[in-house]
Amino acid sequence: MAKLTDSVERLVEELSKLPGIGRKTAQRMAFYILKLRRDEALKLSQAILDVKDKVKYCSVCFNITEEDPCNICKDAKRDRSIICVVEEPKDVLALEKTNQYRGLYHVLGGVLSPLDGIGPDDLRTKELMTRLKENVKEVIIATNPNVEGEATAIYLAKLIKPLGIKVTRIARGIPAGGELEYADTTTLANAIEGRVEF
Amino acid sequence: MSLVKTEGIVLKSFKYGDSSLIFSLYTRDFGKVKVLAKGIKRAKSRTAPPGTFSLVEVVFYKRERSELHLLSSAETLKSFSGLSKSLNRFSWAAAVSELLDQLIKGEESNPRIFNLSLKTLSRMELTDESNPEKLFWSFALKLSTHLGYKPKLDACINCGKEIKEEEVFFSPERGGVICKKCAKEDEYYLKLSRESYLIARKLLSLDINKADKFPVDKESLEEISELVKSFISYHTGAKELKTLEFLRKISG
Ligand SMILES: [Zn+2]
Ligand SMILES: [Zn+2]
Repeated sequence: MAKLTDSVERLVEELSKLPGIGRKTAQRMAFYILKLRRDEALKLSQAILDVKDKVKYCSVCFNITEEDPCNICKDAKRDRSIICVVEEPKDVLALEKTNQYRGLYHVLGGVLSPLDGIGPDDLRTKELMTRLKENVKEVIIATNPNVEGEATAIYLAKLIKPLGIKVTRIARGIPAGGELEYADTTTLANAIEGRVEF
Repeated sequence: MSLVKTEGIVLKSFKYGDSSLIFSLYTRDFGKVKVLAKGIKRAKSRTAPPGTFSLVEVVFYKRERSELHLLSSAETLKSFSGLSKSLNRFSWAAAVSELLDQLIKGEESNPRIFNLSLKTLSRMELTDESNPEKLFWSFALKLSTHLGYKPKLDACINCGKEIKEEEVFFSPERGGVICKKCAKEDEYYLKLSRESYLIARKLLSLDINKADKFPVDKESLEEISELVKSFISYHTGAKELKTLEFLRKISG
């Protein structure tokens, strides 16, 4: 392969570190950046620096934010008696897109994983328990529906239930627009188990 | 490249790019294999990603010149979802998976180890809350036996006579118990109480489904765990399991 100039090569190398970006795509992006006007390129690099300098974790819910507490935690219209527990900030984003949920969030920062040495103390468990002292009526556990997410959910439920707070788990089942025939057995079994009354 | 079908236990999965996963599987027919499941995390993927510890029927393209094969389909036969029901159970199941991952080197089939692993996970899912640890040490003893290093616990490794002492010596290096008469001054031995010794024998010889059927006190379990760990690390060079370190951490 023909060698690019050193600075283009460096840019390609940095871009190809991004998730989902292979070398070819990185090259296409690098050439695109090469054609940008200087002020456009500056805007891009400034945006990258800004997220590094300005974005931090909300001290209440640990979602990413520029102001502390975050917009969700500050919003007087949101229901403060419900907290939805998620693994990562991107899960908050996904749930917010639905416009269905009007309560608060709590970002754990991961899930329990013995193989990676991640225990309860490595997640924001204590911080959650502290928040529960403030008139919380329900905790919705929205960790991912895999083994690690499930173990984390059950662990938290056991911790919270003795406080007399209602603990719920997000439902799992057939995806919207899906067909029973094509669903795998685990998904089907979960859908039956988590059925709801009409 | 050939298309093959087998059953496997999911030992671990790793993220690969945005939407793909690599699974480390212990299979019935090919031993330990790594398969790449392209796009399996996408919502429209026909295959749901199988979970850790689950038993799956997999079809994959077996590459000759690569250690990473390509998954075609995976159907979960048993999810062992009960293993998530407590952190204790979940962690000991993870220890089973980690020990397999460490001790099984490559693509060599061993149906006895496969069946043992399956039985251990099944039993761990159903047993009482205090039992997963016993099952794990029994599993480890049996696994090393199937791998060709069976610890000799029934009689002295030197003279073959029954061990009658209250305090029993075990040599990790020689892989067995030794009586006081045969024991040498300058050799290293682990010391076990007679009770621990008798329990270790049971854990080695009984079927895994029965290994959780008798009470074991904390001290004996501790001694047995030392025996198994030192024996396995001497004979395989295996490092201390991360999950055991984790279990120590969460138990305070
Ligand atoms: Zn917040
Ligand atoms: Zn002897």
